[in-house]
Amino acid sequence: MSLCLSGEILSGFSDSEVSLDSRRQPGILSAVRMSASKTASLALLVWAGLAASRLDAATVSGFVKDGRTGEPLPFVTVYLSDLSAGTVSDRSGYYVLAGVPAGERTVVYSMIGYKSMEQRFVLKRDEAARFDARLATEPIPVSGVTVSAAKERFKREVDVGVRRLDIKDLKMAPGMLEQDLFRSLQTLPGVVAVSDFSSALYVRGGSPDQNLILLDGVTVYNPYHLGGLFSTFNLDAVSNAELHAGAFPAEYGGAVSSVLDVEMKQGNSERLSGKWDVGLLTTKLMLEGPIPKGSFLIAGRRTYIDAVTWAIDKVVDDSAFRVYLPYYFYDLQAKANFDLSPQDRLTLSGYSGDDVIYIKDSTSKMDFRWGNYTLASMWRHIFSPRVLATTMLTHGRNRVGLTAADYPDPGVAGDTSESDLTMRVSDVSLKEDFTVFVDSGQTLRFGAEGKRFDLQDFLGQDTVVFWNLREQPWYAALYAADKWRPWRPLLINAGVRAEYFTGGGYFRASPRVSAKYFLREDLAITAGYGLYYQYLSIPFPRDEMVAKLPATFFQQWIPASDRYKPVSAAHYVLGGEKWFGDDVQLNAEGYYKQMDNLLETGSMLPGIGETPGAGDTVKFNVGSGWATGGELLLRYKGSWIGYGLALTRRTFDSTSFYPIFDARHNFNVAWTASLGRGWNLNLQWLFRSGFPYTGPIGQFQYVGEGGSIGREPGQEQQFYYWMPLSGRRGNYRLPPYHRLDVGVEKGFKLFGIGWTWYLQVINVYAQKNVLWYNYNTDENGRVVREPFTILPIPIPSFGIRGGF
Amino acid sequence: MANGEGRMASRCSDRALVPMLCALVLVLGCDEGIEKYKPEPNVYCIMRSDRDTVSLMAGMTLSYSDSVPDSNKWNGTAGVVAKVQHQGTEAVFAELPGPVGFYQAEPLPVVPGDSYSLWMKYPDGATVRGATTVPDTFSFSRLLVDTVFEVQWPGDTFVEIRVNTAWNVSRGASGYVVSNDIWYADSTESTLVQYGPYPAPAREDSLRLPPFSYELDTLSQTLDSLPISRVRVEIRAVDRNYRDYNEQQWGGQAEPDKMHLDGAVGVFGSACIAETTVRFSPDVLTRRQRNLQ
Repeated sequence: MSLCLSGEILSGFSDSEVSLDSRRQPGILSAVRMSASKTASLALLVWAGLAASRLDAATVSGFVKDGRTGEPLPFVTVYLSDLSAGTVSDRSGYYVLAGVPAGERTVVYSMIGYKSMEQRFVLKRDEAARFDARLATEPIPVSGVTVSAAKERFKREVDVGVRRLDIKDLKMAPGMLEQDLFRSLQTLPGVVAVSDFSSALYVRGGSPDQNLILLDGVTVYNPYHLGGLFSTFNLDAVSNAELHAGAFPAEYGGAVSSVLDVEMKQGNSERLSGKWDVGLLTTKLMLEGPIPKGSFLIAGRRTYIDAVTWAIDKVVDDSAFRVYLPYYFYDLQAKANFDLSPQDRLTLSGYSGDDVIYIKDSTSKMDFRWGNYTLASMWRHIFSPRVLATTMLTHGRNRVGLTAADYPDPGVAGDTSESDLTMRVSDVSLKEDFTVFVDSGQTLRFGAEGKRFDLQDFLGQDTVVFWNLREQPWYAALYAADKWRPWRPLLINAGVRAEYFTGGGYFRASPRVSAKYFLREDLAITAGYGLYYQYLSIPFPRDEMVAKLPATFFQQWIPASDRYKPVSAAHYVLGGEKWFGDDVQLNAEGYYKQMDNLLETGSMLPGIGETPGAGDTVKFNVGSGWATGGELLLRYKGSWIGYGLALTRRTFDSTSFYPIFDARHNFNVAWTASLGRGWNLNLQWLFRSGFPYTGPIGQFQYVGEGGSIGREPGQEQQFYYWMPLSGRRGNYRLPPYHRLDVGVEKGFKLFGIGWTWYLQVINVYAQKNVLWYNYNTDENGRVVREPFTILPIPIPSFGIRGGF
Repeated sequence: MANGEGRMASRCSDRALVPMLCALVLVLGCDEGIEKYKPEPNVYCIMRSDRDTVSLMAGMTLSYSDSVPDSNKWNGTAGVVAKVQHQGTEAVFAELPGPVGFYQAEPLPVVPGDSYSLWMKYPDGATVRGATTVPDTFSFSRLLVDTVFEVQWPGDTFVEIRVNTAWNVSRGASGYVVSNDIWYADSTESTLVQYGPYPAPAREDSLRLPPFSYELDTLSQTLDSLPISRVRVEIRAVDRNYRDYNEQQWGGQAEPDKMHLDGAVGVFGSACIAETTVRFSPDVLTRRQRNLQ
C-alpha cells in the first residue's frame, strides 16, 4: 500500500511522498459520478472526475475549528502520528488525509495557541471517515511538532504578493478615532494613501479603483465612510483579511492592481457572546451565538457626531454659536450559517452601511446619503471528501443619492423645486467554484461566474433631466487553477481566466502563474506572472487637488465600451521568503507592472444632454503606465518593519510623468507589545518620501472673453488675468511625510466581564505634513506658496470595550 | 588555500553588495532637480468663421519670482513678425497702434473645414508655430424660451428665464461655447451669460443643452409687467486648441501641455459660429413663481 501524502509537515522534504495506487480510481470516480447527478455543471465535474482519477479511496476529512467559538481554523497541521505523514487545513478549515492505510490510526491536530488533539480511527479500506476537530485554546505553545499557521502557510502556499493581517493585532493598532483595516494596510510596504484623511489604498502604483475589495466574495465598490476617513469594515465582525498585492491567482477577476479579500466571522457556534466598543465618536456592538444547526453574527456601528453637536448646541443655547453637524454613518453586518447536513452548509450574509447628511426645516430639505450594501448566499456542498463545491448568489450595490427640495410657500400653489442626483453601481452575480483535493500537494480550483452590472447616473431638477445615463453590461468568466508540487522543493499555482464583457464585446484570456522554490526548508524564492483586465474603472482626476480630496462619494464608474477598452495590466513579481525560527519572517519582493487603457478625467466639466446616452459626450483621456519597485518586510508575530522602493509613471496626452501617488521611499514600523498586567502598547511610524505635485514655474496671462454689459452683441470684450503656469506634470515633490501614532490599552475584569480601556494618539509629535500648496499673490504682486496641512496637531481618541 | 581565497572573495563580494544595493536605492530614489524656467512667448489668436479678419496678441510670460505688472493690461511684445497661411495664401499681421502687442492680419476668409497655420518670430529670435482646422458649419435645431420664473429671494426679486437650446453637431468640433445676451425691450444693454466649453459628442446626434436659467437683474417690474424682450444665443463650435485653452480658466494653474503651440504658450485656435435671436413675451410663457429661502 502506498501513500499519496507529502510528509514535509513533519520532516521537511522527507521521502515519505510515494506513488499513487491505481486501485483507488473506481471509488472516487463513482463518488464523482454520484455527485454529478446533483449538479448541472456536468462538464466541470467531468473535469473534476478526471482530476480526481488519481485519488485514493480511504480518507479522513473534516473541518478544524476553534473549540471556543466554532470559527474555522486555517493552516492547522493534521498528521498521522504513526506514519509521519500529514496535511494542513485550508482557508475554510477543511482538511483531507487521503490514501490512509486501513487499520487503527491516530490523527493529530496541532497549531500554536491551541492544545494538540488526538483522534483515533479504525479505518477500513475505501472508507471515507469524517471528523470535525475542535481545538481548545492554550496560551503556551507546545514545542516540537506545533507550528504557527503563518509558517505552515509558507510551506504549503505559493503566496506571491500576499499580505495577511491578523485581526487581533489590528484591533490594537492606533486608528483615526477608531481602528481601521485600510489604515493598517497602509503600514505595509507597497501600500500608500495620498492624504491623512483618506483610507483609500494605492497598491504598487495602482489607483484605488483598481483594487478588488471583496466582503465574503461580494464586490464592495466604494468601501469608505466619511469621504474616505474610515473604511466600511467593522473589525469586530471580520475574521480574515488578505491583500494580494500582485500576481494574484485566476479565481480573482475584474481588477488590475490588487485584491483585498475580507471574510466575515462565522459567528460563535458554541455559546452566545457579545462585544461592545464605546469610542469618542463611535459605538460598536456585536452579538454572536449558536442557532439550531448553525451560528449567527450581527454587528453594528454608528457615529454620533450629530448627537454630540446637537447636545452641545442645546447646552450652550446661543444662536451665535452653533456647532450642530447633521452627519452620521452607520453600518450593519450580519451572517448566519446553517449546517443542513454533514455535506451541506448554507451561509447567508449581508452588509448595509450609509453616510447620511440630513437637513430639514420648514422651507427646505436636503437628504444626502451614500453607501453600500451587499447580500450573499453561499451553499457549500461536499460531493466527496476531495471534491467541494460552493455556489454563490450575490448582490452588491454602491449609491450616492442627493435630494434637495424647496418647499412651497403655504400661500402659493405649485411652488416647489426639487433636485435629484443619483450615482449608482450594482451587480447581481452567480458564481460556482469547485475545489478538488487531488492529494496533499495538489489542489485544483475551477469555476464560472456570471454577473450583471447596473450603472446609473441621474441629475435632474423639477421636470428637467440634465443627464440620465444607464448601462447594464454583462460579465461572464471561466477560470481554472491548479496548485501542485511537481517536485518536492517546487510549488506551482498555474491557471487561466477567460472573461467576456458585453460593453464593447470584449473577450479576454488571462494566464496566471506563480511558483515557489524551496532552497532550504526555511528559505524559498518566488516568482509570479499574471495578466489582468478591468471592465469598470473610475477615471483618475487630472486635477491633483481633486484627487487628494476625500470626496470619494462622487466617483463615477465607467464601463468598458466601444470607445474605452478594458483597463489591462501585466504583473511580474520576483521574491523570496526566509524564516528565522517559527516566528520571524523576512519577505522580499520586486515587481514590475505594465498598465494600459487607463482613464483620466480630461475636464472638470460635466456632460450635457437630456436623453440617455447623451452623457457619453464626456470624454476621458486614455493612457498607460508602469510601476516597478522592491519591498522588504520583516515580521515578528504582530509587529513588522517594512521598506518599499517604488517608481510609478503614467503617460497621458504623450506626456509621461510621476503621478501624485508615486511614493519613492516608504518605510513603516508597526510594533505591538504586551507589557504585562493587561497592558498593551502599539506604535506605528510611517515615513515616505514626498509625493510628486505639479507646481508652477512661471506666470501666464490668460485672455478671457465676455462678462460685460453695454456692448454690442457678438462683440466680446476681453479681460486678462495672471495665473500660475505649471511646469511638467509631477515636476516637484512635497516634503517627506512622517507620522507617529501610539495606542495603549489596559485590560481588566469588572463584574466578571473582561473590559479594556484604550487611548490612542495620532500624529504624536504634531508633524505638519503638507498635503498641497496653495499659490497666492502677495501685496507686491509676487506669487507666494502656502502649505496646506490636514492634521497639524495630535489627534487623541479614547474608549472602552468589553465582551462576554 | 584556493578554498580560503574563494571564501574571502565571496565575503568581499557580500560586503560590496550591501553598499551597491544602497547606492542603487539612492540613485533610483533621487528626486529630479527643480525645473528651470525662462519666460516664453504667450500668444492669443482665435479665427472665427463670422469674421474675415484675424487678430493676434503677442506677449510674454513671467518667471515664477517676477512681480505681476498691471493685470488690466496685456503684457505685449512689439516687433513680432507673424503670418497665417491658408492653402498657399499668406496673410501677414501688422502691429496695431495703441497698446503694445496687438496685431491684425490682412483680410483672410475663415472657411469652416479648412486648415490654417501660424508662424511667428519674436524680436529675440524665438519662433512660434501653430495649426488649426476650423470646425464645420452647423445649425440650431431648437431654440425655445419656455419658462419664466419670478423669483423672490429675501429682500430681492428677479426674473429667471429658461432657454431650451439644441443644435446639430459640427464636424471637427472638440467642444462648444455658448454665449447668451438678453435684452429688455427697449434697452441697448444686455446681460451676457457664457457657458462652456462643453465637450463634443462622440456620435452624430443633436446636442441638447440643459435649459439655461438667466437671472435678470433686480427688477422694478413684476413678472406681469415685464416688457417684450429678446435673447441672442451664440454657439461656437471650437477646435481642440480653443477648447483646451478655454478650460485653463477652471484650473488653478495654466497647463502648457494643453496649449498645442510649438515654441509658446497660449492659443492658436478656431471657431465656427452659429447665432440667432428670439423674441419672447412673458404673456405667452408658462409662468411659475418660486420663493427661495
